[in-house]
Amino acid sequence: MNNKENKKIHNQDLSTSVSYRRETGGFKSLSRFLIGTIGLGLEEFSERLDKWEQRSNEFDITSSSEIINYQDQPDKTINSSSLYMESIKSDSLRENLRFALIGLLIDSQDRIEATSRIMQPIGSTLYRITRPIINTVSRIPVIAPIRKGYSSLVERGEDEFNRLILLGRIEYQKSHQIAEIAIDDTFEETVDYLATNQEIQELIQSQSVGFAGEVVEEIRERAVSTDNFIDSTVRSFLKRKPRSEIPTPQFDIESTKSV
Amino acid sequence: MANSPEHTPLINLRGYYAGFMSRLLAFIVDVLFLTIVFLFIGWFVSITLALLQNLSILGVDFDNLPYVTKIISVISDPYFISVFIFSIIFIYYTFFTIFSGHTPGKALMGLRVISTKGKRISFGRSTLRFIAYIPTLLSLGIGFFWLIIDDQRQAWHDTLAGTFVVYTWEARPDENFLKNITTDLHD
Repeated sequence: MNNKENKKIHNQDLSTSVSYRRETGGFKSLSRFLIGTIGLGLEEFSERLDKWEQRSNEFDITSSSEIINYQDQPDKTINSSSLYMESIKSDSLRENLRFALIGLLIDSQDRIEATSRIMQPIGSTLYRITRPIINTVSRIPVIAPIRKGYSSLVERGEDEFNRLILLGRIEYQKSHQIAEIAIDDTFEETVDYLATNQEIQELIQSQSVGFAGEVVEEIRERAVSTDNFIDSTVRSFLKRKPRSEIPTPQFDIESTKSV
Repeated sequence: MANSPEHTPLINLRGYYAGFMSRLLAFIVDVLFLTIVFLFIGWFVSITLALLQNLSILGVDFDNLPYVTKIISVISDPYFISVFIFSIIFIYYTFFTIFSGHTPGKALMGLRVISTKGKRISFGRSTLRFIAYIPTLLSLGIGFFWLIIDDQRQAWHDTLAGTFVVYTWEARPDENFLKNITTDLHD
Protein backbone atom coordinates (compact mmCIF):
# COMPACT_ATOMS: atom_id res chain seq x y z
CA MET A 1 0.00 0.00 0.00
CA ASN A 2 1.53 3.33 -0.99
CA ASN A 3 1.41 6.65 0.82
CA LYS A 4 -1.47 8.07 -1.22
CA GLU A 5 -3.75 5.13 -0.48
CA ASN A 6 -2.82 5.32 3.18
CA LYS A 7 -3.75 8.96 3.28
CA LYS A 8 -7.08 8.28 1.52
CA ILE A 9 -8.06 5.64 4.04
CA HIS A 10 -6.96 7.92 6.84
CA ASN A 11 -9.15 10.75 5.49
CA GLN A 12 -12.11 8.39 5.18
CA ASP A 13 -11.65 7.39 8.81
CA LEU A 14 -11.53 11.06 9.75
CA SER A 15 -14.59 11.75 7.69
CA THR A 16 -16.59 9.02 9.42
CA SER A 17 -15.39 10.16 12.81
CA VAL A 18 -16.29 13.73 11.91
CA SER A 19 -19.70 12.86 10.50
CA TYR A 20 -20.41 10.92 13.67
CA ARG A 21 -19.94 14.16 15.55
CA ARG A 22 -22.51 16.02 13.43
CA GLU A 23 -25.26 15.86 15.97
CA THR A 24 -27.72 18.70 16.17
CA GLY A 25 -28.21 20.90 19.15
CA GLY A 26 -29.45 24.37 19.91
CA PHE A 27 -26.05 25.94 20.48
CA LYS A 28 -24.35 24.04 17.63
CA SER A 29 -27.11 24.95 15.19
CA LEU A 30 -26.82 28.56 16.20
CA SER A 31 -23.03 28.42 15.72
CA ARG A 32 -23.49 26.84 12.28
CA PHE A 33 -26.08 29.42 11.35
CA LEU A 34 -23.79 32.26 12.48
CA ILE A 35 -20.78 30.80 10.63
CA GLY A 36 -22.89 30.28 7.50
CA THR A 37 -24.39 33.76 7.47
CA ILE A 38 -21.02 35.35 8.18
CA GLY A 39 -19.45 33.23 5.42
CA LEU A 40 -22.20 34.08 2.94
CA GLY A 41 -22.07 37.72 3.94
CA LEU A 42 -18.31 37.85 3.55
CA GLU A 43 -18.46 36.17 0.14
CA GLU A 44 -21.09 38.64 -1.05
CA PHE A 45 -19.22 41.54 0.51
CA SER A 46 -15.88 40.58 -1.06
CA GLU A 47 -17.57 40.22 -4.48
CA ARG A 48 -19.10 43.64 -4.14
CA LEU A 49 -15.86 45.07 -2.80
CA ASP A 50 -14.05 43.92 -5.95
CA LYS A 51 -16.72 45.53 -8.11
CA TRP A 52 -16.51 48.80 -6.14
CA GLU A 53 -12.73 48.76 -6.41
CA GLN A 54 -12.96 48.26 -10.18
CA ARG A 55 -15.48 51.07 -10.49
CA SER A 56 -13.41 53.42 -8.35
CA ASN A 57 -10.41 52.70 -10.59
CA GLU A 58 -12.36 54.18 -13.48
CA PHE A 59 -11.95 57.63 -11.90
CA ASP A 60 -8.86 59.57 -12.85
CA ILE A 61 -7.17 59.68 -9.45
CA THR A 62 -3.45 59.23 -8.83
CA SER A 63 -3.07 55.70 -7.51
CA SER A 64 -1.16 54.81 -4.37
CA SER A 65 1.36 52.90 -6.49
CA GLU A 66 2.26 56.15 -8.25
CA ILE A 67 2.96 57.76 -4.89
CA ILE A 68 5.23 54.85 -3.99
CA ASN A 69 6.97 55.31 -7.34
CA TYR A 70 7.33 58.93 -6.50
CA GLN A 71 9.50 58.00 -3.54
CA ASP A 72 11.74 55.83 -5.73
CA GLN A 73 11.79 57.95 -8.86
CA PRO A 74 10.68 61.47 -7.97
CA ASP A 75 11.37 62.92 -11.42
CA LYS A 76 8.95 60.58 -13.25
CA THR A 77 5.86 61.00 -11.15
CA ILE A 78 6.30 64.43 -9.69
CA ASN A 79 3.91 65.96 -12.28
CA SER A 80 1.02 63.62 -11.58
CA SER A 81 1.30 64.08 -7.83
CA SER A 82 2.29 67.75 -7.81
CA LEU A 83 -1.34 68.66 -7.15
CA TYR A 84 -1.24 66.58 -4.00
CA MET A 85 2.07 68.16 -2.97
CA GLU A 86 0.44 71.60 -3.23
CA SER A 87 -2.47 70.51 -1.07
CA ILE A 88 -0.06 69.07 1.55
CA LYS A 89 1.38 72.53 1.93
CA SER A 90 -1.98 74.27 2.16
CA ASP A 91 -3.79 71.83 4.52
CA SER A 92 -3.72 72.16 8.30
CA LEU A 93 -1.48 69.97 10.47
CA ARG A 94 -4.49 68.00 11.71
CA GLU A 95 -5.62 67.24 8.18
CA ASN A 96 -2.13 66.21 7.13
CA LEU A 97 -1.84 63.95 10.20
CA ARG A 98 -5.12 62.26 9.31
CA PHE A 99 -4.01 61.65 5.75
CA ALA A 100 -0.60 60.47 6.96
CA LEU A 101 -2.28 57.82 9.13
CA ILE A 102 -4.42 56.63 6.23
CA GLY A 103 -1.33 56.56 4.05
CA LEU A 104 0.55 54.61 6.72
CA LEU A 105 -2.22 52.02 6.93
CA ILE A 106 -2.25 51.40 3.18
CA ASP A 107 1.51 51.65 2.89
CA SER A 108 2.14 49.12 5.68
CA GLN A 109 -0.12 46.61 3.90
CA ASP A 110 1.83 47.12 0.69
CA ARG A 111 5.10 46.75 2.57
CA ILE A 112 3.98 43.54 4.30
CA GLU A 113 3.04 42.12 0.91
CA ALA A 114 6.38 43.21 -0.56
CA THR A 115 8.30 41.75 2.42
CA SER A 116 6.48 38.43 2.19
CA ARG A 117 7.35 38.26 -1.49
CA ILE A 118 11.01 38.75 -0.60
CA MET A 119 10.92 36.36 2.38
CA GLN A 120 9.47 33.44 0.41
CA PRO A 121 12.58 32.74 -1.72
CA ILE A 122 14.84 33.42 1.30
CA GLY A 123 12.93 30.81 3.33
CA SER A 124 13.12 28.17 0.61
CA THR A 125 16.87 28.84 0.12
CA LEU A 126 17.46 28.47 3.85
CA TYR A 127 15.50 25.20 3.88
CA ARG A 128 17.53 23.90 0.94
CA ILE A 129 20.79 24.71 2.71
CA THR A 130 19.84 23.37 6.15
CA ARG A 131 18.05 20.21 4.99
CA PRO A 132 21.23 18.09 4.44
CA ILE A 133 22.59 19.22 7.83
CA ILE A 134 19.35 18.32 9.64
CA ASN A 135 19.22 14.96 7.84
CA THR A 136 22.77 14.17 8.86
CA VAL A 137 22.15 15.19 12.48
CA SER A 138 18.90 13.21 12.69
CA ARG A 139 20.69 10.03 11.61
CA ILE A 140 23.03 10.09 14.66
CA PRO A 141 22.00 7.03 16.77
CA VAL A 142 22.26 8.94 20.07
CA ILE A 143 19.38 11.22 19.25
CA ALA A 144 17.21 8.46 17.71
CA PRO A 145 14.72 8.34 20.67
CA ILE A 146 14.29 12.11 20.51
CA ARG A 147 13.76 11.86 16.75
CA LYS A 148 11.14 9.14 17.22
CA GLY A 149 9.31 11.12 19.88
CA TYR A 150 9.45 14.21 17.75
CA SER A 151 8.17 12.30 14.70
CA SER A 152 5.24 10.79 16.59
CA LEU A 153 4.42 14.23 18.05
CA VAL A 154 4.48 15.74 14.59
CA GLU A 155 2.32 12.90 13.26
CA ARG A 156 -0.21 13.36 16.04
CA GLY A 157 -0.23 17.11 15.45
CA GLU A 158 -0.71 16.58 11.73
CA ASP A 159 -3.57 14.16 12.37
CA GLU A 160 -5.27 16.57 14.69
CA PHE A 161 -4.70 19.41 12.26
CA ASN A 162 -6.12 17.37 9.34
CA ARG A 163 -9.08 16.35 11.44
CA LEU A 164 -9.77 19.96 12.29
CA ILE A 165 -9.46 20.96 8.64
CA LEU A 166 -11.92 18.27 7.60
CA LEU A 167 -14.28 19.15 10.41
CA GLY A 168 -14.06 22.79 9.42
CA ARG A 169 -14.75 21.96 5.77
CA ILE A 170 -17.78 19.84 6.57
CA GLU A 171 -19.09 22.26 9.16
CA TYR A 172 -18.58 25.18 6.80
CA GLN A 173 -20.61 23.43 4.09
CA LYS A 174 -23.28 22.58 6.63
CA SER A 175 -23.31 26.18 7.92
CA HIS A 176 -23.53 27.45 4.36
CA GLN A 177 -26.54 25.22 3.73
CA ILE A 178 -28.21 26.28 6.98
CA ALA A 179 -27.72 29.95 6.15
CA GLU A 180 -29.04 29.50 2.61
CA ILE A 181 -32.07 27.55 3.85
CA ALA A 182 -32.67 30.19 6.53
CA ILE A 183 -32.49 33.02 3.99
CA ASP A 184 -34.71 31.18 1.47
CA ASP A 185 -37.26 30.27 4.16
CA THR A 186 -37.34 33.77 5.56
CA PHE A 187 -37.74 35.19 2.06
CA GLU A 188 -40.51 32.75 1.19
CA GLU A 189 -42.29 33.37 4.48
CA THR A 190 -42.06 37.12 3.93
CA VAL A 191 -43.43 36.77 0.41
CA ASP A 192 -46.18 34.45 1.68
CA TYR A 193 -47.02 36.92 4.42
CA LEU A 194 -47.14 39.79 1.92
CA ALA A 195 -49.23 37.70 -0.48
CA THR A 196 -51.73 36.50 2.10
CA ASN A 197 -51.98 39.53 4.33
CA GLN A 198 -55.28 41.19 3.54
CA GLU A 199 -54.23 44.67 4.66
CA ILE A 200 -51.06 44.69 2.57
CA GLN A 201 -52.92 43.34 -0.46
CA GLU A 202 -55.54 46.05 -0.12
CA LEU A 203 -52.81 48.65 0.22
CA ILE A 204 -50.99 47.47 -2.94
CA GLN A 205 -54.26 47.17 -4.82
CA SER A 206 -55.46 50.61 -3.83
CA GLN A 207 -52.05 52.07 -4.74
CA SER A 208 -52.01 50.48 -8.21
CA VAL A 209 -55.66 51.12 -8.91
CA GLY A 210 -55.22 54.69 -7.70
CA PHE A 211 -52.21 55.15 -9.95
CA ALA A 212 -53.99 53.66 -13.00
CA GLY A 213 -57.00 55.86 -12.25
CA GLU A 214 -54.82 58.96 -12.10
CA VAL A 215 -53.19 58.10 -15.43
CA VAL A 216 -56.56 57.52 -17.13
CA GLU A 217 -57.95 60.74 -15.66
CA GLU A 218 -54.92 62.66 -16.90
CA ILE A 219 -55.36 61.22 -20.42
CA ARG A 220 -59.06 62.07 -20.38
CA GLU A 221 -58.42 65.64 -19.22
CA ARG A 222 -55.82 66.15 -21.91
CA ALA A 223 -58.13 64.67 -24.53
CA VAL A 224 -60.93 67.03 -23.45
CA SER A 225 -58.49 69.97 -23.60
CA THR A 226 -57.49 68.94 -27.13
CA ASP A 227 -61.16 68.49 -28.06
CA ASN A 228 -61.88 72.05 -26.99
CA PHE A 229 -58.75 73.41 -28.60
CA ILE A 230 -59.41 71.76 -32.00
CA ASP A 231 -63.05 72.74 -31.80
CA SER A 232 -62.47 76.40 -30.97
CA THR A 233 -59.67 76.73 -33.53
CA VAL A 234 -61.69 75.23 -36.37
CA ARG A 235 -64.85 77.10 -35.40
CA SER A 236 -63.07 80.43 -35.21
CA PHE A 237 -61.42 79.71 -38.58
CA LEU A 238 -64.77 78.85 -40.20
CA LYS A 239 -66.42 81.75 -38.37
CA ARG A 240 -69.06 79.50 -36.81
CA LYS A 241 -70.75 80.37 -33.52
CA PRO A 242 -68.61 79.50 -30.49
CA ARG A 243 -69.20 76.25 -28.64
CA SER A 244 -70.31 78.14 -25.52
CA GLU A 245 -73.41 79.32 -27.39
CA ILE A 246 -74.50 75.76 -28.20
CA PRO A 247 -76.73 74.50 -25.39
CA THR A 248 -75.79 71.45 -23.37
CA PRO A 249 -78.19 68.55 -24.03
CA GLN A 250 -80.47 67.83 -21.10
CA PHE A 251 -79.88 64.11 -20.87
CA ASP A 252 -79.71 62.22 -17.63
CA ILE A 253 -76.30 60.60 -18.12
CA GLU A 254 -75.16 58.09 -15.57
CA SER A 255 -71.66 59.01 -14.35
CA THR A 256 -68.69 56.67 -14.84
CA LYS A 257 -65.48 56.76 -12.85
CA SER A 258 -62.12 56.62 -14.59
CA VAL A 259 -61.12 53.17 -13.22
CA MET B 1 -61.62 87.67 -29.08
CA ALA B 2 -64.50 85.72 -27.63
CA ASN B 3 -64.01 82.62 -29.69
CA SER B 4 -60.22 82.48 -29.68
CA PRO B 5 -58.52 79.13 -28.97
CA GLU B 6 -57.31 80.41 -25.58
CA HIS B 7 -60.87 80.45 -24.23
CA THR B 8 -62.35 77.32 -22.71
CA PRO B 9 -65.87 78.41 -21.86
CA LEU B 10 -67.13 74.94 -20.85
CA ILE B 11 -65.80 73.72 -17.52
CA ASN B 12 -67.80 70.64 -16.51
CA LEU B 13 -68.72 68.81 -19.68
CA ARG B 14 -70.53 65.78 -18.30
CA GLY B 15 -73.36 64.87 -20.65
CA TYR B 16 -71.94 67.13 -23.36
CA TYR B 17 -71.10 65.93 -26.88
CA ALA B 18 -67.69 64.28 -26.95
CA GLY B 19 -64.97 65.86 -29.05
CA PHE B 20 -62.69 64.60 -31.78
CA MET B 21 -59.59 63.66 -29.74
CA SER B 22 -61.48 61.74 -27.04
CA ARG B 23 -63.28 59.74 -29.69
CA LEU B 24 -60.12 59.16 -31.70
CA LEU B 25 -58.32 57.82 -28.61
CA ALA B 26 -61.28 55.56 -27.82
CA PHE B 27 -61.18 54.29 -31.41
CA ILE B 28 -57.42 53.58 -31.14
CA VAL B 29 -57.96 51.64 -27.89
CA ASP B 30 -60.69 49.57 -29.55
CA VAL B 31 -58.46 48.84 -32.54
CA LEU B 32 -55.65 47.72 -30.21
CA PHE B 33 -58.03 45.54 -28.25
CA LEU B 34 -59.37 43.91 -31.43
CA THR B 35 -55.82 43.40 -32.73
CA ILE B 36 -54.96 41.47 -29.57
CA VAL B 37 -58.12 39.38 -29.97
CA PHE B 38 -57.26 38.57 -33.61
CA LEU B 39 -53.66 37.75 -32.74
CA PHE B 40 -54.87 35.34 -30.09
CA ILE B 41 -57.35 33.69 -32.46
CA GLY B 42 -54.68 33.47 -35.20
CA TRP B 43 -52.25 31.90 -32.76
CA PHE B 44 -54.85 29.38 -31.58
CA VAL B 45 -55.79 28.38 -35.14
CA SER B 46 -52.15 28.03 -36.26
CA ILE B 47 -51.34 25.88 -33.21
CA THR B 48 -54.34 23.66 -33.95
CA LEU B 49 -53.33 23.29 -37.61
CA ALA B 50 -49.74 22.49 -36.63
CA LEU B 51 -50.99 19.80 -34.24
CA LEU B 52 -53.16 18.29 -36.95
CA GLN B 53 -50.18 18.26 -39.33
CA ASN B 54 -48.10 16.49 -36.70
CA LEU B 55 -50.81 13.90 -36.36
CA SER B 56 -50.66 13.27 -40.13
CA ILE B 57 -46.87 12.75 -39.79
CA LEU B 58 -47.58 10.21 -37.07
CA GLY B 59 -49.71 8.26 -39.50
CA VAL B 60 -53.25 9.51 -38.84
CA ASP B 61 -54.99 9.67 -42.19
CA PHE B 62 -57.16 12.77 -42.42
CA ASP B 63 -58.94 11.58 -45.51
CA ASN B 64 -60.69 9.03 -43.34
CA LEU B 65 -61.61 11.53 -40.64
CA PRO B 66 -64.98 13.12 -41.41
CA TYR B 67 -65.07 16.86 -42.22
CA VAL B 68 -61.47 17.59 -41.08
CA THR B 69 -60.05 18.35 -44.52
CA LYS B 70 -63.16 20.31 -45.39
CA ILE B 71 -62.90 22.40 -42.19
CA ILE B 72 -59.22 23.11 -42.84
CA SER B 73 -59.91 24.23 -46.41
CA VAL B 74 -62.80 26.44 -45.25
CA ILE B 75 -60.87 28.21 -42.47
CA SER B 76 -57.92 28.84 -44.81
CA ASP B 77 -60.20 30.48 -47.38
CA PRO B 78 -59.58 34.29 -47.61
CA TYR B 79 -63.30 34.91 -48.11
CA PHE B 80 -64.12 33.05 -44.91
CA ILE B 81 -61.36 34.92 -43.03
CA SER B 82 -62.75 38.31 -44.20
CA VAL B 83 -66.29 37.39 -43.16
CA PHE B 84 -65.03 36.07 -39.85
CA ILE B 85 -63.07 39.27 -39.08
CA PHE B 86 -66.02 41.44 -40.10
CA SER B 87 -68.35 39.40 -37.88
CA ILE B 88 -66.06 39.67 -34.88
CA ILE B 89 -65.81 43.46 -35.28
CA PHE B 90 -69.58 43.69 -35.70
CA ILE B 91 -70.24 41.59 -32.59
CA TYR B 92 -67.68 43.60 -30.63
CA TYR B 93 -69.21 46.97 -31.48
CA THR B 94 -72.88 46.05 -31.27
CA PHE B 95 -72.66 43.77 -28.22
CA PHE B 96 -70.83 46.32 -26.07
CA THR B 97 -72.83 49.29 -27.34
CA ILE B 98 -76.21 47.63 -26.72
CA PHE B 99 -75.46 46.21 -23.29
CA SER B 100 -73.33 48.94 -21.74
CA GLY B 101 -73.64 51.88 -24.09
CA HIS B 102 -69.94 51.93 -24.88
CA THR B 103 -67.13 49.80 -26.28
CA PRO B 104 -64.12 49.18 -23.99
CA GLY B 105 -62.23 52.05 -25.67
CA LYS B 106 -65.11 54.45 -25.12
CA ALA B 107 -65.50 53.23 -21.53
CA LEU B 108 -61.84 54.02 -20.88
CA MET B 109 -62.24 57.51 -22.29
CA GLY B 110 -65.51 58.05 -20.39
CA LEU B 111 -67.80 58.22 -23.43
CA ARG B 112 -71.21 56.73 -24.19
CA VAL B 113 -73.30 56.28 -27.32
CA ILE B 114 -76.92 57.39 -26.84
CA SER B 115 -79.86 57.97 -29.08
CA THR B 116 -80.89 61.54 -29.93
CA LYS B 117 -83.50 61.18 -27.17
CA GLY B 118 -80.80 60.36 -24.64
CA LYS B 119 -81.67 56.67 -24.33
CA ARG B 120 -79.45 53.60 -24.67
CA ILE B 121 -79.45 52.52 -28.32
CA SER B 122 -81.26 49.43 -29.58
CA PHE B 123 -79.84 46.53 -31.58
CA GLY B 124 -81.31 47.93 -34.81
CA ARG B 125 -79.84 51.39 -34.26
CA SER B 126 -76.52 49.87 -33.24
CA THR B 127 -76.42 47.75 -36.40
CA LEU B 128 -77.34 50.79 -38.49
CA ARG B 129 -74.57 52.77 -36.82
CA PHE B 130 -72.08 49.99 -37.59
CA ILE B 131 -73.14 49.83 -41.25
CA ALA B 132 -73.00 53.63 -41.41
CA TYR B 133 -69.29 53.39 -40.61
CA ILE B 134 -68.80 52.18 -44.21
CA PRO B 135 -69.65 55.51 -45.97
CA THR B 136 -67.75 57.35 -43.23
CA LEU B 137 -64.67 55.26 -43.98
CA LEU B 138 -65.16 55.46 -47.75
CA SER B 139 -65.14 59.27 -47.52
CA LEU B 140 -61.44 59.04 -46.59
CA GLY B 141 -62.14 60.15 -43.04
CA ILE B 142 -64.15 63.27 -43.92
CA GLY B 143 -67.11 61.64 -42.21
CA PHE B 144 -65.10 61.38 -38.99
CA PHE B 145 -63.65 64.90 -39.20
CA TRP B 146 -67.17 66.21 -39.72
CA LEU B 147 -67.76 66.03 -35.97
CA ILE B 148 -65.29 68.91 -35.48
CA ILE B 149 -67.54 71.36 -37.27
CA ASP B 150 -70.88 69.82 -36.37
CA ASP B 151 -72.79 71.59 -33.59
CA GLN B 152 -73.72 68.31 -31.89
CA ARG B 153 -70.31 66.82 -32.67
CA GLN B 154 -71.88 64.11 -34.81
CA ALA B 155 -69.84 62.14 -37.31
CA TRP B 156 -71.64 60.88 -40.41
CA HIS B 157 -72.40 57.49 -38.90
CA ASP B 158 -73.93 59.26 -35.87
CA THR B 159 -76.14 61.41 -38.08
CA LEU B 160 -77.22 58.42 -40.17
CA ALA B 161 -78.01 56.29 -37.11
CA GLY B 162 -79.44 59.15 -35.03
CA THR B 163 -76.96 58.88 -32.18
CA PHE B 164 -74.79 61.14 -30.05
CA VAL B 165 -71.57 60.35 -28.24
CA VAL B 166 -71.39 62.14 -24.88
CA TYR B 167 -69.01 62.42 -21.94
CA THR B 168 -70.08 60.34 -18.96
CA TRP B 169 -67.55 61.73 -16.48
CA GLU B 170 -67.03 65.14 -14.96
CA ALA B 171 -65.06 66.12 -18.05
CA ARG B 172 -62.66 68.91 -17.17
CA PRO B 173 -60.08 70.33 -19.53
CA ASP B 174 -56.47 70.36 -18.28
CA GLU B 175 -55.80 74.11 -18.16
CA ASN B 176 -51.99 73.78 -18.02
CA PHE B 177 -51.93 71.38 -20.93
CA LEU B 178 -54.15 73.72 -22.95
CA LYS B 179 -51.89 76.68 -22.13
CA ASN B 180 -48.85 74.68 -23.24
CA ILE B 181 -50.49 73.78 -26.56
CA THR B 182 -51.46 77.37 -27.32
CA THR B 183 -48.05 78.72 -26.24
CA ASP B 184 -46.23 76.16 -28.40
CA LEU B 185 -48.39 76.99 -31.41
CA HIS B 186 -48.00 80.76 -30.97
CA ASP B 187 -44.21 80.37 -30.63
